[in-house]
Amino acid sequence: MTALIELDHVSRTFTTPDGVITAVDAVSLALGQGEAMCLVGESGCGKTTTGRLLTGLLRPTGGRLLYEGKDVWLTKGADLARFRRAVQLVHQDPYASLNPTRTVFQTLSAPLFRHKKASSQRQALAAVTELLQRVDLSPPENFIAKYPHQLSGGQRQRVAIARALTVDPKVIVADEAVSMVDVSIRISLLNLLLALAKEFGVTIALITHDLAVARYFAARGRIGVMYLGRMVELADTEALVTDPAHPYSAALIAAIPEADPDITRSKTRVELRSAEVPSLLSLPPGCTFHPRCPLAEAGLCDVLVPELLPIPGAREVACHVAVRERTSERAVVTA
Amino acid sequence: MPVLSVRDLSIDYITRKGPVHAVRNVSFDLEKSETLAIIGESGSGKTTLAVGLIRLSPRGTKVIKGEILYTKNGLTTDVRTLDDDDLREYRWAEAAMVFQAALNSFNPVITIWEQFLDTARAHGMKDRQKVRDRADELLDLVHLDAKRVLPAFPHELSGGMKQRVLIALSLMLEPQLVILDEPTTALDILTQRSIIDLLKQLRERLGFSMIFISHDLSIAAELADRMITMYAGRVVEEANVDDMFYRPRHPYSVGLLRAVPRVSGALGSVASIPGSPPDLMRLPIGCSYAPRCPYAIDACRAADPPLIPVDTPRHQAACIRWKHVAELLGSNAEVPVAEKLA
Amino acid sequence: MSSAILARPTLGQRLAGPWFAAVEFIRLLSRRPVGLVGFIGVVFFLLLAYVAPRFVPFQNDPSLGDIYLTPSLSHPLGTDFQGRDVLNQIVFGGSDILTVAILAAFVSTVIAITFGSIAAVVGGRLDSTILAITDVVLTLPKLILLIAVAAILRPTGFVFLSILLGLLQWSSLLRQIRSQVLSLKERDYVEAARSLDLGIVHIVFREILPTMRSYIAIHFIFAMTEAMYAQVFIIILGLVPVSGSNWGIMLYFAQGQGALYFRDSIWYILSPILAISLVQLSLVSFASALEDIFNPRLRGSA
Repeated sequence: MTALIELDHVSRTFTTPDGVITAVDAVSLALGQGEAMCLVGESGCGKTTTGRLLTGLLRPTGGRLLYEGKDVWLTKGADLARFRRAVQLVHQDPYASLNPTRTVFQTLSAPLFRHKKASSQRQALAAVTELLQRVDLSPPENFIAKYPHQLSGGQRQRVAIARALTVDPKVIVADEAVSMVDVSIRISLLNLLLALAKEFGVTIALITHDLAVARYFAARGRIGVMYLGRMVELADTEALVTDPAHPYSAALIAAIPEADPDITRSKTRVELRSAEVPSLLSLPPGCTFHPRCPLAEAGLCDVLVPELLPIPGAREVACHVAVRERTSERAVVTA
Repeated sequence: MPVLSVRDLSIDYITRKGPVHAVRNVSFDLEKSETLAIIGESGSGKTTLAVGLIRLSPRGTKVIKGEILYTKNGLTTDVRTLDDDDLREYRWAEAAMVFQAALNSFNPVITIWEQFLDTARAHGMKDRQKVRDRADELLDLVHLDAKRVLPAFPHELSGGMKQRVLIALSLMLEPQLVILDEPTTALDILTQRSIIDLLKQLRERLGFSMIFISHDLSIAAELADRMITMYAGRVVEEANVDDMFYRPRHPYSVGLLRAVPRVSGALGSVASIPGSPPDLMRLPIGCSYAPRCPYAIDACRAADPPLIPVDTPRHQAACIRWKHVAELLGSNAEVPVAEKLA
Repeated sequence: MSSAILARPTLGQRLAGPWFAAVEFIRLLSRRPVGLVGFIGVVFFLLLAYVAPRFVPFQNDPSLGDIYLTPSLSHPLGTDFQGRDVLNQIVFGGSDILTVAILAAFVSTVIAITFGSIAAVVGGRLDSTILAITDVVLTLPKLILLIAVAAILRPTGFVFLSILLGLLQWSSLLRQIRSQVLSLKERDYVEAARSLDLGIVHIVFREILPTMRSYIAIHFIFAMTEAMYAQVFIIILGLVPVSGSNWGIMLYFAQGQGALYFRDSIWYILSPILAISLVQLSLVSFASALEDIFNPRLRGSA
């Protein structure tokens, strides 16, 4: 599968009065067409920054962003404009993502007019109606003349998705797009995004801190786990959830409370050595997880930064111990 | 005698366009050392109910009717009838509330120590040394380093630390009842885990009764003994936590459970609830969930169903079709709803 | 309902549109009684200044026998130092002042919006340059500068005076517009507009500025009040050639002709002062309700 969009060892630092923060550190991620994947992690892990790097809203301070094989930040003019339209972002906060002084019609028709997909009010109305139907805002007439404050959070997110669709994007990055929406509505929004991936071949990268949402959304795809700016594991969802390779992923999966009393009360937790999350201003040497990691080996994990390496099962993990254990297991099995 | 007994509590918001019936005829009992989870989404009335229990409702709300009966040492009082002085004593010494740490629950310009001091003074503890000792004790209970935390300002603490401080503050006067509003929302997974574990520990050690409000079913599965689901201001189902998760009888509870995917185990058939919650100023006649309910019949739209006991003990549901729901779910096994309906 | 957007409006619909808007406007205004009263005051004075003069004959002939008459039926506000009716002068004296105020406010608002938005949106060196110029102008002592420029240039026409006043006023509004635009620029919907490649003009004029409408309107009104005070000030000081008669000129003469010293001439001084003050008060009261009027949440179906 050739990648449609790819982050190649991308880094992003920010200079603050307190020092330099490495929000994203040498992250590599390749997404194919029509893929539905999730980026998960806790706050400060760099997943939102990674999402913005993917959309080109933020420029990397290291590494390359490749779209259709070409370095985006080296392209200009029409090619760059094409990229910008091809990758769209759906924001987290439904209450801030739409201009409160413009109706749904105005918000959706502006890009249509701008990019010459409609040249009259009649055409725009037809196109907007179709878009609203595509995002399950039915009947469309009920929504066209409404202002954002007259819509619920879920409905606003659908309008935001419709807005992204006005430019026929190839990639949609949904940054916590369901986190601020009612629980009972999340699944339908996720299903909408999945339908876009399946029926229209749009690549969707969902960024979330909620593992359960990630598991559902990326059920047939991959999940990337991030910690303090690095990608620590990248695997098929089922594999990750049943057999996490990185100790941090294992800790997360073991820690997450589940909506099932029997399961959640009998889950074995992974005890971490420390509850303190290091500040991004002073990251630990070697593997940034080592101060908390139950598998940490002195002399190795606190010295050498683990690379994201492939292990058996078409997955990658950035952990010295995991790579060693799993590749030697495989070697033993095939011997 | 239950520690807290709420009977027919109704609270309205008074707006220019008319009253908004935020809480309607809510009744429940809370036994000693029991943990009750009140689960609902936005607009369900759960937060209005929670602040109403300690009479901290904002201006513009009015308790229309109902009783909040609090019992201690055999003596029962209706919280609604308490005068200001007694109410101040009730709050914090008997029933303490832990707000959401993420929502500016701290005064940003004073240190945590001053926060302790203010709270202590407001409730009659004047001796600085005593307050200091108590603060050390409480912070130790919540696994925080007092030397580091007390001189800090709120913005210097992480979300998890702030939540722990709020919990510590609430325990200052050894209340019999602790009410928590969204205790783990907006916290990271590992931090959530530590707060949940902390609450379990504290509950074990100090024996208080706990009510927590959340939209997050998983925390109810972790902590609660009993559960209430709220919809459009009413209690639609009340049950033991196992019964609620494995044998729900109200279609909203079923819908809600079905809408939450899990990480472990099979996914089952996960689905959203179509539609949106009703406008609390213009509630439909009959069951307020009927417009979204896949099992609704004409009788449902005729009258708002009362809470009726269903087929397991201490279990009530406000649905005339609960038997149909039970049939649909099939077995009574300890298997989640999404799997049963798959 | 959607076809309503497209169908050619009938005459009835075309008339109905502005009518509904007007009704909506009054409805929102009546929620804020102070604003409503202010609005009525503004309308009253606009009518007084621009419409009344068409219906009332201009009485400019001196009548030396009627100097400083106290108010009576034929002279409700008394007479001035030349025996002319004061009320008549009030009626005819408003349009100059108001016109210059409106034009000056317009000039300063346009400068502030244009350069404030450009500075915020483009950023970089252009932003620093604009800010530097603004800061210098901001610190200039306006009144003194106004006096000096007026004394040197002796502005005669409206336009000139308006532009002069406008040029002195834009600096604080520009800073405020710039910081508002800077913060609005970070809003999610603006970011979406950028990634949809909607263009800078669209972003500034359709996404950012519309959310600042009440802001801009309120500033326009305050710019008017400032311009009125500035005008009257330089007129009283005699820096503007005294031709015609407006409220400011009335005050100039009142002061110059010693109206301060006679009890009978009180109305000659008070009338223009009251007129100016009431206009200012009406404007400010009206401004207080503007935020509601521009709030989309309060418009439309309840």
